[in-house]
Amino acid sequence: MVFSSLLFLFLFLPVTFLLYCLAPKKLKNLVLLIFSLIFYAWGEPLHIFIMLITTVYIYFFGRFMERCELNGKIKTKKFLLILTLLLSLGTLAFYKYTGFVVSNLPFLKHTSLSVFSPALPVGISFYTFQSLSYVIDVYRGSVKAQKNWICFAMYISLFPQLIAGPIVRYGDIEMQLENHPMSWEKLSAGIQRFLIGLAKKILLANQIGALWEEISQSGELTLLSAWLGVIAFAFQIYFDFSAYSDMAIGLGSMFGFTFPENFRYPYMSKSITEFWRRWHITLSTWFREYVYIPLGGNRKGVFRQILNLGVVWALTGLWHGADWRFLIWGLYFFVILVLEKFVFRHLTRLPSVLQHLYALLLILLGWVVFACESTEQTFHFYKAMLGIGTAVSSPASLFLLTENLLLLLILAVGCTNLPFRFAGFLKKKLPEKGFAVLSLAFSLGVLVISISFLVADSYNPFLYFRF
Amino acid sequence: MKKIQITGVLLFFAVLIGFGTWLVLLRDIEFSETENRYLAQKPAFSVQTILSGDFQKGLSDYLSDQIPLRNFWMQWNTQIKKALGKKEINGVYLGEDSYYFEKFTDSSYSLSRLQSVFSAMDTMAETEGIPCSVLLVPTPGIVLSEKLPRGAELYDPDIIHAEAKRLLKHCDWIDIKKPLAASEEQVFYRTDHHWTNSGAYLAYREFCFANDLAPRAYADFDPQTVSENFLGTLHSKIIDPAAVPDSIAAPQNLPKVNILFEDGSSSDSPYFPEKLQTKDQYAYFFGGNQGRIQIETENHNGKRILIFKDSFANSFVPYLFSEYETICMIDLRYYSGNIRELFSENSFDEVLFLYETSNFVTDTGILKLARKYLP
Repeated sequence: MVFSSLLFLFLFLPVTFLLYCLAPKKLKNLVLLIFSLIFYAWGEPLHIFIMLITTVYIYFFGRFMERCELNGKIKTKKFLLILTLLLSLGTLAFYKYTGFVVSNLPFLKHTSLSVFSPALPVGISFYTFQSLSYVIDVYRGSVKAQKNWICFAMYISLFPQLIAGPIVRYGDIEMQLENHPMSWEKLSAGIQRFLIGLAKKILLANQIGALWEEISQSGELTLLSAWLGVIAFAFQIYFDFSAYSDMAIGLGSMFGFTFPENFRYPYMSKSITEFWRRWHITLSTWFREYVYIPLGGNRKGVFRQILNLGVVWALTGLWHGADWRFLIWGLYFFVILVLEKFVFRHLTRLPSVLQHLYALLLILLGWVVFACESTEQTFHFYKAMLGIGTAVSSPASLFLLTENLLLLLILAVGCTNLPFRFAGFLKKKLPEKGFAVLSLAFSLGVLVISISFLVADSYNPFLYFRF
Repeated sequence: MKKIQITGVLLFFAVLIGFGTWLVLLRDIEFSETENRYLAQKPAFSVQTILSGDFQKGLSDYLSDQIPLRNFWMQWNTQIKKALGKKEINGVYLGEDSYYFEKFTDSSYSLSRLQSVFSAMDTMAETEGIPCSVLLVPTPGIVLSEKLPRGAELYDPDIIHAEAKRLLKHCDWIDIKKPLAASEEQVFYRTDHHWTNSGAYLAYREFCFANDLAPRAYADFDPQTVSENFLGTLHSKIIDPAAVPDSIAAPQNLPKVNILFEDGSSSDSPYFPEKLQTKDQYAYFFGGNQGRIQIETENHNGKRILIFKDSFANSFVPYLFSEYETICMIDLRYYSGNIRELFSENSFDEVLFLYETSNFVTDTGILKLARKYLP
């Protein structure tokens, strides 16, 4: 199920919320768990068993590991950790990378494996990483093993962040699991945050996504349409992904949780290093915490540091999908980050406009690799962006530009912190009550407009069916 | 402060719960007049349908089909998109003078499929040994290109024409684009994808010229306005409050006919005035589409024509009443009979293919010809 659907908005959310409120305190977590499982099973009625099995063995292994620690059986503890890592990473690899590995190993091509590429269970990359953070932290002794199975299962499967993050590390939420009281303040803030996310998804990401789709599917590119396409994709992926995080954080807050932030205006960065501190923060944090630092980080000399960065970025790339293009995309950032660390040290002395341009250009060039589904298409785009062998513009490209100009301006402003600062300005200038009423009216307006887009875009009549 | 927070929370859930309850309790609509299609109904609930995901998909289709106040939401949506400067909404271009045009591009159809359809038509004409003409009506945006938004993409009619020239060796191609474009009259509806009475008349004229017939003058048919409040299919896609309704006119001075429909009913008029009270007013002509409609006229000239057609022919065929003794209209989408037997049982003198282009290149019905006539 997705948040931006009629089903979620008008049935799932109100029913879940009502039952949650009505449930006695002891049963509240159980209600949340059950509805999270329904939420997941809705689109993946069979894959839910993979998630449940993962949850069960990680729960037991976590408790075993803690007992080993108490009994001084350090070797058994280590063995259990490795076993858990093998099991859960193995499951992830099996579902995510089988097809990719088989298609790239010529000697496997004619075996029975070559026809076998399992469908990817939704959210597996997210919940695997969440459960690993738990196991590793229990191993390290930085958190206690969770004794309550319902709390633990709820941590893994909590529907707000289940399918698209943020990746909540166990340590960040441990205290909240048993005790996450609701309050009018959290509820109200959560609803507003959810509605902002909903609007970002439906009103912005989906609309600009249509432009990227149109350009990427049309065979002919001009200089103008190629740039328009890449910019459209950059906006789509940011607004889509951050909208999901907003909705997740908002829903979490409605049920009393505080989730970590996942995006902090990434397109305002002045360097790629900064970009990755602002983009998908919980993923970068995860890799730093559980891969980069355990490998030695920067404590073992420059050579090891570069190697460690290489590993982290290759994995980051592959995490996004099983395809060479994601690996190349990850390594592309690896190269830039290493250069920024050791070569471009004087970047910060440039005028800040140039720094912004530098970062945005590299981010956009990276999205081309990420978005294009074949190498030919990637080069096709790069060539058109440089104006090689294509016209500067065409009536059709100009049409697409004028169609989307206002939307692009809104997106450009929307991806900065200007709206946030404007709200802050209003808050200061207006009386407290006035501001509260204004933001309430704004939220409800956004809800109504979002519903209208949700209905209209679902509207695909087969007009010619009966004519 | 807290009061406002509480009000906000309650309002939010009131909207969701209120709307959700309405959605669940509302009496289901079976058929939508606006969209001219059957709507999704409550899906069957069983372990099997849940495991296969059919129930889940069915439920979300059901919700989006049965959503209350659909037109209200659609209107809002169109208004907002127009305010954003959009000239294309839901696959419809907003043109000059309140014209709507369907967005149909080169990537909307398969060229190889078109080639096999043309080949099948040509083989049919050759095998049956009957003179055959082909009249493809250009999509309105092609004809009224000056009313299209600047730069709006449409298919290239020359590609289709070139294929026709190459493959249709035993058929005559009747070009209708130029006369339609040159006409001073309104040849297409603004809010619907069909042509008007004047557009259909121009096609009749060109058809007569191509077949050495003398066309009757337009005024001679005594065309009369039968409706002034027609909002057609293109309007249904966007529900634009600023839409300008169309008028429907139809020729009244026609020879006496007897029309036999596939469902066994018969009529002495091609018009169905009761359809003007429904959403799909274009069904005024012949009451809509049927697999086979056979018309016998009072002209005893022995001329028999077979027309393979889509709905564009429905407003065109009345003009032919004066020229033929028998007119057989076949809509291949609904016709289930054997085409070869149709030819052997009836001695037709000529065959006409009359389709609107975007419909023709995507129509699945016409593939039946390919199955019959291509190896």
